[in-house]
Amino acid sequence: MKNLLRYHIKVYFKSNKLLLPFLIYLIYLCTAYSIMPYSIVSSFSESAWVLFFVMTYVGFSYTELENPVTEQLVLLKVNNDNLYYFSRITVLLIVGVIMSVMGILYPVIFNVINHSLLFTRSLMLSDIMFGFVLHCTMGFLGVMTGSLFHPRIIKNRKIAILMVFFVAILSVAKGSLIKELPLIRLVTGIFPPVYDILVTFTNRDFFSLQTMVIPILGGIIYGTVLMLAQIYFLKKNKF
Amino acid sequence: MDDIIIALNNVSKNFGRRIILEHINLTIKKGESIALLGHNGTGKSTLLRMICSLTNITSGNIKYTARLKFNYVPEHFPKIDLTAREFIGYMGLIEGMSEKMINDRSRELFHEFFMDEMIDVPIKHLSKGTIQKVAVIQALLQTPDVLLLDEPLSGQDSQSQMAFINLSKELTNQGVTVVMSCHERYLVKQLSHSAYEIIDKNLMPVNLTGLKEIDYDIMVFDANRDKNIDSSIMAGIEQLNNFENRLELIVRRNKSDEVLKQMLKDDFKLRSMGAKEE
Repeated sequence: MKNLLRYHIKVYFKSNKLLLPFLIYLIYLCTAYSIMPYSIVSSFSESAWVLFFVMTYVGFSYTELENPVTEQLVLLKVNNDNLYYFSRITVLLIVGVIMSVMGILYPVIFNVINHSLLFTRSLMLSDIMFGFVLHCTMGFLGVMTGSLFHPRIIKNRKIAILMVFFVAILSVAKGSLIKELPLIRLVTGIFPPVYDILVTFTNRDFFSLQTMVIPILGGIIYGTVLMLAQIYFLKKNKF
Repeated sequence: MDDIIIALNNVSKNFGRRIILEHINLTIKKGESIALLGHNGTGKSTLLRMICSLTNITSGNIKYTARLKFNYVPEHFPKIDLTAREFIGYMGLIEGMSEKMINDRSRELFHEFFMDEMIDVPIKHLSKGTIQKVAVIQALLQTPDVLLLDEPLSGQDSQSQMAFINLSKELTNQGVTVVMSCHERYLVKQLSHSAYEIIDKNLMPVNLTGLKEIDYDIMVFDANRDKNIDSSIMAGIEQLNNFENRLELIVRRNKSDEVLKQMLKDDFKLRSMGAKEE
């Protein structure tokens, strides 16, 4: 597994595919935290859903990077399809964690530089911890959503791009749609629970374990289902 | 030779509505070397991938007597960003080889395939023939149970072809099973115990004794992009390798005179010529 990860990371970093999403997220952070003071919960929530979009792109572009020929060679050398697919997902998860660290570390450092005036109240360790978990969950949901639209699962890439865009938008915007058309709730349930997680923090000043545990757990379960579905479809739709 | 390790029973493969292979039956024995012949698009590559489970079958079944280690040489290796040294190194590590083993074995293989000077060049910047050598080297890094070769010699020069032929013979002697798809009948003659041709989606045995009687010559001409080879002599040309500044033809010996006359008549400049060694 270690060597497989080293190989995937080497291929990924040589491709420069990560540079664009990394810069986009960095630009977002610079822009978003240029206005102060800002509520901790709402700024972390906003940064988390932006990370969801960025990681959806990362997940999608990563599947495009995969070369079917080298993939076949590595699959034969590993001789374990599950391990191979899981190693690729692990690379995406590592990127998700790094981006989450960035999403939390930037405001923390910026707050220190600004003599703790970045936020409307003082930043606590619990804010950093809950914020990090929230970012990681959104990153996980993003990569699982993006990578599900793998070229071997959705062969028509134009349709895949439209679908991933549609799903990502609806994951966040489904709340507003439900307000307008309550019946749509029956359908929106299948989309990643980004809105469902974020709505629990609306108008709150503090993160709390009680309010976070169920939505975060829901997000992790949803992401895990997407991951298992992806591996199942990839094993079903071979070369 | 009697140990069957893979048995394809009534196997068919469709891509959508298109039938690629139909009711294929094939038994593969340990240490056997099998050649698959057929025109482009007849399903040779698909059959190879089905044998190692990289492609799912539509119907029928494939039985393996043990968990086998497959290595595979694809027909078209991609132009990737990694260098040959990096790619081969990672493949070795993934296969579970130690760094020392990888270094020793890869140095040996790079040398045999005349690649010493190119190991630190990104694969995407190598020529087609050299990229194909990387594909071959990754498959020969460690001894597999079954070696699957999809047009392994396409675009390679004669010396590398000889190196490959010798290594393949060595592997077969060690008990490695080789299944190879190829156009070059002279290769079948040198490497295979049995051969099959895919005709109308079915696998037909090929009489190797007929093939074994054919001898070949190699002719090397200066490359000339403005000229085409006369279609009347194409039937005698077994393989045509286009290198940067030369054109290499592997010709059936009984057609050599005819091919040479026509090539010279068409103003191709002959650089060397000789019998293709066994």
